[in-house]
Amino acid sequence: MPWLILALSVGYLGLLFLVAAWGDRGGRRLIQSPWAYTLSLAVYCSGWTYYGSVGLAAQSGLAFLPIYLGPTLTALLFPFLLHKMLKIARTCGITSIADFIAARYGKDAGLAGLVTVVAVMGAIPYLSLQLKALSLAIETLDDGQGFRPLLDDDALLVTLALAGFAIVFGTRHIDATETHRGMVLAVAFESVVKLLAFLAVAAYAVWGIGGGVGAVFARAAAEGREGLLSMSGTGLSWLDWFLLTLLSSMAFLVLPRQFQVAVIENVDEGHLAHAAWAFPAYLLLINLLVLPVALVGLQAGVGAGDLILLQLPLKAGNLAVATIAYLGGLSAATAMIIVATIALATMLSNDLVIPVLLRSRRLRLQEMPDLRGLVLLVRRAGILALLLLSYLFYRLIGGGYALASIGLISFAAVAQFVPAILAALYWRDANRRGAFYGILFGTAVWLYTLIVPALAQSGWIGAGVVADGPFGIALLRPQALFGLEGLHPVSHALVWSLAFNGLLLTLCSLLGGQDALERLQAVLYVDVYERQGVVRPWRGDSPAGELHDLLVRFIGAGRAEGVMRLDARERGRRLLPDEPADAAFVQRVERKLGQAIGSASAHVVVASVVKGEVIGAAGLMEILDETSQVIGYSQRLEQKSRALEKASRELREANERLRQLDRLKDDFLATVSHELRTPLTSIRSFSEILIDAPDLDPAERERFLAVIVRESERLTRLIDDVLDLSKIESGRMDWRIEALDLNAVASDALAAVEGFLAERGIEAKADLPPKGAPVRADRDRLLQVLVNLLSNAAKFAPEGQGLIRLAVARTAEGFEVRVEDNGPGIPEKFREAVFDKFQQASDTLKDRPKGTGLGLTICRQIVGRFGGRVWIEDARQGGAALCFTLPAT
Amino acid sequence: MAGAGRRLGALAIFAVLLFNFPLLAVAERAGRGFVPFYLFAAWGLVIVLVRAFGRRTGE
Repeated sequence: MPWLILALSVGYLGLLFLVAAWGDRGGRRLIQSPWAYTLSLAVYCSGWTYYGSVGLAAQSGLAFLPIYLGPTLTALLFPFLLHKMLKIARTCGITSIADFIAARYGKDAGLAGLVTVVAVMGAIPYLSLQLKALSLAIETLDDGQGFRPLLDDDALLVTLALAGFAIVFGTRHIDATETHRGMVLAVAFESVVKLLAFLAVAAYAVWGIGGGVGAVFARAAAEGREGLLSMSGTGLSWLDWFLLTLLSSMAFLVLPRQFQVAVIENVDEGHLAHAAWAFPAYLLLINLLVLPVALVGLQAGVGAGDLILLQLPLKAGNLAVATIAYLGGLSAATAMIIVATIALATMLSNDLVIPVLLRSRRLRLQEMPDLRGLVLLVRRAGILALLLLSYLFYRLIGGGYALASIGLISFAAVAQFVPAILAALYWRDANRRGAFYGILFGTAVWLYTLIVPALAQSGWIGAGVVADGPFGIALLRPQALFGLEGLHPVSHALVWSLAFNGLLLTLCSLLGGQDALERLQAVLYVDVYERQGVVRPWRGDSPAGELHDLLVRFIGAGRAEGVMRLDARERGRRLLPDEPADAAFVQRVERKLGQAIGSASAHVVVASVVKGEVIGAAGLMEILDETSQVIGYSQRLEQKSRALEKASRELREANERLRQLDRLKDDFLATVSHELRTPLTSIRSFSEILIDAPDLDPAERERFLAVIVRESERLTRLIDDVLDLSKIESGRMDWRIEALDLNAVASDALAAVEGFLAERGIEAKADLPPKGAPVRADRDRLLQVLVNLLSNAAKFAPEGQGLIRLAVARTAEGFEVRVEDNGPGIPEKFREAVFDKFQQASDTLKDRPKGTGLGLTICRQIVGRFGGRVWIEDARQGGAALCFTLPAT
Repeated sequence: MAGAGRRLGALAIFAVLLFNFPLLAVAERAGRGFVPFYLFAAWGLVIVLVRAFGRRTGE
């Protein structure tokens, strides 16, 4: 049996290597799928979820749920909170949660170190939980035989094996911001494995052993375990329930491994919206059968421990299902260990060990030609140290705790980062001192309220400290601090640690100030969406060659050359080695170094080379002021420029309209003058003849006088028309709108032109509706329109054989009036033009009829005023039909 | 974006209420065994709402 377990474990880890190797080499399409990102987030579900939830459910019913409801609530904020964190991490080249916090508060190495220490302290119980879960599973599976042939301690063997695996798996690259495609794919694969394994084993337990959910619940009720199905069975107060949900919602984002997969490994911001629902769905699925499985375990008599999932198939004698259960647990634990140790080892090397080593004058690291090996060595040693410390915690303290209790202790530790992170994202005035002391004191309270009782429980310190308080001071009891009793120990710790943490952060920030770099970074974080541009805090004159050498030592010649090439491409030329590096280049080098060794270390290293200085507060504010002024001025200029452009465009359009109107006016005046001159010339000529020839023949004299009279009438008509048109167009026409019978006006119009028609030998017919045609119009103007149209028709109708038909008919629009003639008609192309001033269809005809050329224009204006329209079409008898409509009353 | 933020904030508050007192107290009074059903149903509802919200805002 031990050898079977060993073979299974090695085989599974080998498969993981293959998946990771495939992910590193190819698998680009898979890694860019939102599902890969979502499944990698499920590294949250570790051995604690896999084994511990069932164990907790067997003891306290639904008490396991807040740990998963919290992240579900956090997922709702992915598109905003996590999105902002992603943007900042991209902009600043962040490598870890410690880097994220320290970079905001002035790239402070002390703060980065503190965050790293707290993260490690928080992670050790969590890692020990995985070791405990795995070693217990192995012990359960091989029935207590252990790997005696290899080592007498299963847990130590598991620790060493996982350390080796994590070292080989997780420290292949030095660049910590480079996404570990292979690792993410392997973790996503593990999330699928553990979910499927859990569901398969749970389904076997519930339906195969328990007889279905209904039967399991019914038996639970019959056995008096119905309390496990209710809130009262959790043993949690409403406040505890709320606080544990809050705690897990906070921890989900700030656990180093969650930060690693959610922020550092994210390849596409668009994946957040998908993960916002898909990740909670994963949590729901993996928790759906936890309670029924726990009840089956209790009913089957396997106890209420953490390994019910494994014990059930073993008790039923089903080794295959037990193997699946073991593999699922192995998958859940290894995924957590791999990601957590990679994240923590990066933090340990970048934010704690390397900065200390770099400061040591004795080691002379600054003079070493290649530091890459050292960085990798520190990370590998970090992984080993973390797992060995976790093993020690398990052996010395954690052995007596349930998996869920150990996990919650870790959550409470990392929750100390939350105030500093929220302030980093949304409060520009939060300062380094506030973040530092907040985290420091919050962690101290965490140690006092959670770790001290754990040490007491393990017998390392006296139990009296917990029961009576140090020196018998009851107010200082670790689990009832300042008399706060009745809460779950983790809720109690959370309340006090976050209270101290938040208070100190706020007080120090309000009372203290910020240095220049802090202020700069604060703006960069809080306004990350507005300030995507580069802010350059350096000024100095160190040669570019020295900075290049620095890059070579930390990231190698190849990558350093890549940085130089990128810089050359952007600035259009390559910097010479002895040329002074400008601020942009210094910042580029610092950012690249930060990706390898963290922003705080990179800042220290760059500061040691650049002979200039970080710009002081006054200088920085001066630059910011200047920049702000320039930006403000530029924005105002842009606004003014846009307004001017708009005004200019409107002016151009208005000018064009005026020019057109001016042209129309000139044309109109020219035409009117021409039209006036023609009759005037005739009148003048014939008048002069009459004056100059007093002995003119009377018949001739009479003919001349008739011409004068006719031309005078034409002149009068023209002037009348021009005046009418002018009045209508200028809106000065006096309209007297009243109810009319269109029939009556039509009859009057026919009577008015009767003489003219008779004179030309034209027959007129009227076709009027018998019931009348009530409309609202100005009678005189309507009569003017009808007379105009009839006269127009008469002009074109053939003399002697002319026929004019005036028809009024009811239509959908109201009434339609048609004046038809049997003349030559009006060609299609002129039917609109004749309504223009001084345009006549007869312009193309040889015989231009007498008229002012304004009649139809006036008709259209008048009819339009009455709410009708005028148009021309072919008449039934072959001539033209001038039609108009009027609305009926 | 502001409108989407408000809707998401409202959804978060709704979800917090679903999973906490007083609705859990009401579920508790509905009979023993109802609370697990209620919690998982509420969980599913929140997931469906977030999914629908993502579609509306053009995920």
